[in-house]
Amino acid sequence: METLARNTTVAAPGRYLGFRLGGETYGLDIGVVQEISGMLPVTRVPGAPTHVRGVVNLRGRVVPVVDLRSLFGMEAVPESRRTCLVVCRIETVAGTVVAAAVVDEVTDVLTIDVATTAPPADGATGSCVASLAQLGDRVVILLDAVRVFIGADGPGGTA
Amino acid sequence: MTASLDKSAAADGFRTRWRRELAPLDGMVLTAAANPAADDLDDLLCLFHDLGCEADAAGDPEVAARAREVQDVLLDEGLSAGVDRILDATDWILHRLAPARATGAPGAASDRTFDIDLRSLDPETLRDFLEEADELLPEAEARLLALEQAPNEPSSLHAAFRAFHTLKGVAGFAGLAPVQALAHAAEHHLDRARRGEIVLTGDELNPALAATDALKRLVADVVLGLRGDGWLHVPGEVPTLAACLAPPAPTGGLVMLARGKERRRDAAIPATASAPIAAPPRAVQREAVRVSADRLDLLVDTIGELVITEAMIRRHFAPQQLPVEQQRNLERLGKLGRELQRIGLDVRLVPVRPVFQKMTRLVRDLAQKSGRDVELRTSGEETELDRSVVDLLTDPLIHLLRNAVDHGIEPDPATRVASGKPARATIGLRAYHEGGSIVLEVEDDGRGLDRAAILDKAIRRGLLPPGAQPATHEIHDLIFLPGFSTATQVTEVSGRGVGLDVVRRNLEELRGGMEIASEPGRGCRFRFRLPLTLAVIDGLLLGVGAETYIVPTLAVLRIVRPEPADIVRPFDADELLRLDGELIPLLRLRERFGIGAAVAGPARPVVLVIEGDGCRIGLVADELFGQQQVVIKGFDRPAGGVPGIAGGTILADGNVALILDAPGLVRSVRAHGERARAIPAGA
Repeated sequence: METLARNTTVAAPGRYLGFRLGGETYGLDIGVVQEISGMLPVTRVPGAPTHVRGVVNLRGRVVPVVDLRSLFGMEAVPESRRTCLVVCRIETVAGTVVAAAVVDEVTDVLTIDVATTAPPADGATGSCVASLAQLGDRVVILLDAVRVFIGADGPGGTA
Repeated sequence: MTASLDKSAAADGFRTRWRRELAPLDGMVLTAAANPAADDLDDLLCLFHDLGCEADAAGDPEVAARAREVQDVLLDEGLSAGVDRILDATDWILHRLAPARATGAPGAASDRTFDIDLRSLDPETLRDFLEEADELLPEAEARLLALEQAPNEPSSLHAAFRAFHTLKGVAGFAGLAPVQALAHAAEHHLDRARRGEIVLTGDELNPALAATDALKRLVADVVLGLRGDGWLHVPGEVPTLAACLAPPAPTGGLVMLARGKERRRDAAIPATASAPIAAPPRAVQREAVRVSADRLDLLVDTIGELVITEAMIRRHFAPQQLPVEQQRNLERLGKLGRELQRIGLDVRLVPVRPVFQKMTRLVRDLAQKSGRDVELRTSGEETELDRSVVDLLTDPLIHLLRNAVDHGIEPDPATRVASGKPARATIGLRAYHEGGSIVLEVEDDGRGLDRAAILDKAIRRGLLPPGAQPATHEIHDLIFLPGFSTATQVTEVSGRGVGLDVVRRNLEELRGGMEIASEPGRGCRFRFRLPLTLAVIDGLLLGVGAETYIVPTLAVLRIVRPEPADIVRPFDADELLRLDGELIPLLRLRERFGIGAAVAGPARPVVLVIEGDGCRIGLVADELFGQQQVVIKGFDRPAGGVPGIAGGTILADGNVALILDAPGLVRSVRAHGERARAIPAGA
């Protein structure tokens, strides 16, 4: 019940975790963000999709890591001190998925008014973009966590 | 003051009791209307007459009037013609008798299909009901099956009776009238046995078992309803559910009949009937504590973390760097961690009993259906296994037992007697510990495997060259080949082979091994060995390039470091390793995992011969680091579900290593090999 309530807040004027990839600001609904972790040693998973960098040990749990730069077709950059993992916890009908995304830098928590958001132009950055929001003079790209971490074809496929 | 209190208490008692009496009525009236019998009418008349009198006494003239109206309808129009009006009146009365909180769902009460708005019920009581049902129904079933061996044996009979009775109570408490009605009917059936009116065996036992099944379905529907739209849908099936209780005698509508008679006895003792209902939680006190599986997993995970952290600290300091006391403390910390890990895994162990109980029922039903006289003897129900293993065990056992009953046992008892065996066949189902693993056996005293027929079939299907003389165990292995199962002729001639590839597949998932022993004419025994737990395995650490992988030790048959000359590469095909006169396809992990030549491989790599799906392949790795116990950790999308990878684990240095899926790798090599071979074969 609790999680249901949390996930339905996605469309409401909400709070988003803001982070940077290259020059753009992105946002993930704060409701799905479990924690932010420093970069951890990644173990490659041969045969996984190219945008999956591998798995990490997050306090004893093996958690897949998505490389957002690779997912959005951006060029790879070397890790910096600010590179970190945004760990998300997504409740689905089939169970809970915990996965992390590598981002260049976490900026701040953004409060976004739903009235300022607009759907993405067709085909923009694939289907992972939920909407675009105007925040002051910035445009924030709000991501659809389910599509980023689970994919368009829904949950499934555990190892 | 006292008088008015008494009066309201009496009214409450009246309402509660009649709610219980009338709740099952819908289904029973419908059954009786479809299958009229004179007794039913009398019973209904009595019921509504009593209701009318008691309603007057309890100060509810409207209910009394409605009850008399029903009597009039019954007398004037009869059951079949007046069924709609009777049901309407009953609904109205039930609604009237409903406690205050249920008034929100009048639509539900008037809906004749027994649909119940689960959200209108108290969630706490509903949860209690589900938990109780989870234990009571298997208990009832087990006791009923025990009764078949010892008909009307008092302790089993009482226990089964109590289980249904308690279920009836909690269902009534939760407001689940269909469950309550069915449990009541089952309870009543058992009560007849308690009074010695019937002997619970065979046909008399069937209705009770059928009721147990129907109750299980209802409980499952409640769970589905809670997850779904919040309604329990029982669309028009309740009459047949009730009917399933009727022994197959020519008196249709027997539930109604039996129920009405019983009611007359119950009416005299309402106080004792309602007392246990108020106290079901105490009635089923246990020494165990119920813990959710998630919390248990979390506990085991956290312990695993502790052990890893300890190992990391240890790596950081050379022991001699530390004062003696700290060295000792560190030592102790490590020991405690390992102890905790062992306890944590122990906690997840559950006995195989529930699975065995399910099998007892299955064999009974199968035997009855196929007209064979079979007894299932189980032993070692106390043997404990990891929860996850127990779940995966059910399917293979079902397949093996079905095979044993359908094909292993002679269809005609005369054949058995002629060959000096008792007419009644015995199937043994056993579980026991042996050297760190669990062994399960399914043994029948039937015909045994017909080796000649299997061999013949294999040769005709091109699985073996003509004139092949394979060893006995190789012939037995043939029945596990996928597709062999559909070979109807073998099934008819020799039996066995239905879905046995599924058995093998499941056992591989459990990382277990299987042996078959069969003696023609004397019987057949399947024996499989399973690890105690799926959470921890013994693994071999492999170095491939700069990466570390783990292969489950159980999957590895041999480890060799072959001479380069023993590796051959036939034109246009996979590399093969020549080992003791056998050619084994090789899978180079460097290539498979896309590891470039940046790290040079050794001149003589190590080869691990693994087995899966009955085939062998050799995994080529750079280095073998050793063996250790690893805790398996699955991971989700997007990295999960990759072929050849079974999961991950955390090494002592805190990094993740991937665990290889041996059967998956074998299958991929075989698929590749078959594609390669298909070309010359088609040309």
